[in-house]
Amino acid sequence: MRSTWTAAWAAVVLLACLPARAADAPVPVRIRVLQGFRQGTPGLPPGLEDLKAQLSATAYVRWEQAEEVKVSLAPGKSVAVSLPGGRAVSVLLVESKSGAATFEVSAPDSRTRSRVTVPPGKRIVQQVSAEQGGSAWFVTIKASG
Amino acid sequence: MRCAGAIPLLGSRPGEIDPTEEALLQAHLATCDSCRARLADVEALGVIVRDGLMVEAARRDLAGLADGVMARIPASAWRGERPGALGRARAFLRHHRVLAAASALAPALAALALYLYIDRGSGAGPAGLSVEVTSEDLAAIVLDTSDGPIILVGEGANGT
Repeated sequence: MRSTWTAAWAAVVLLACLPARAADAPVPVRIRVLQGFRQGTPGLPPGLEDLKAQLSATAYVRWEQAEEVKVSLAPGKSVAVSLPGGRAVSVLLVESKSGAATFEVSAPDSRTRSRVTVPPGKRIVQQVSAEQGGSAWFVTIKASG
Repeated sequence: MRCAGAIPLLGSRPGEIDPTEEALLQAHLATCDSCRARLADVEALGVIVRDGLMVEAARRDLAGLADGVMARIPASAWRGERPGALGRARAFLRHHRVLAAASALAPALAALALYLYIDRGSGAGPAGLSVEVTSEDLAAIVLDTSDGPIILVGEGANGT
């Protein structure tokens, strides 16, 4: 009888711990810094074709990649991504559950903060600066874990 | 009464047969040597069995029987008290171990089902997408595409 109760409670504790373990695992994250222009020859440079579906939905027609960061983030950890001019954008992985990741992006330049949960395989494209001279800065964030 | 009717009644205990049958049996025994002999054998066998049982019982050590029985009876019972809710629950679980084990496993199975449900529910699809944007002095719009959300900021944002 005692062993039956012990086994039952052990099962309860084990099941309670399963989601916590999965949620704490580091997640590989790919972050790219892009500059979009309203003027210029429309098209995407090599390496940005995978962004076509999202970037073509904006009013910007020409795109350049300034930086790419690949980092493994544990929930609660953040990474600072530099923008030209000494500015930076902070990307925080809030949590990760079953491949769906929640990111918090802070962009001091545009005084914008976002909290986005994306399903597995989806990507966030966020404008992180106000438009100046027909161009603006963007970051793309994708969790590959 | 004849022998065939009397033999089954031989050795019966007082009160086991009705007075009419008893009278007929006694009348038959008064006239039948054979049935009297059978009755004597039955009574002798009863004595032998009784003595044998007594010898067997005497060989058993029953010294701790009373204490053992009393130990298994809750104190509240021999004091004449009704057991409390907890006591009744314990007694129920003691006598329904399979049900108790199943009850203990129920929360675990429920947790497992919930975990699996959440695990599948957070998969790909619009239901998994959640966007909150705050901007101090710029307007923000969110476009949902097949590859994921686009967050645009600006005076009137910049979507097409």
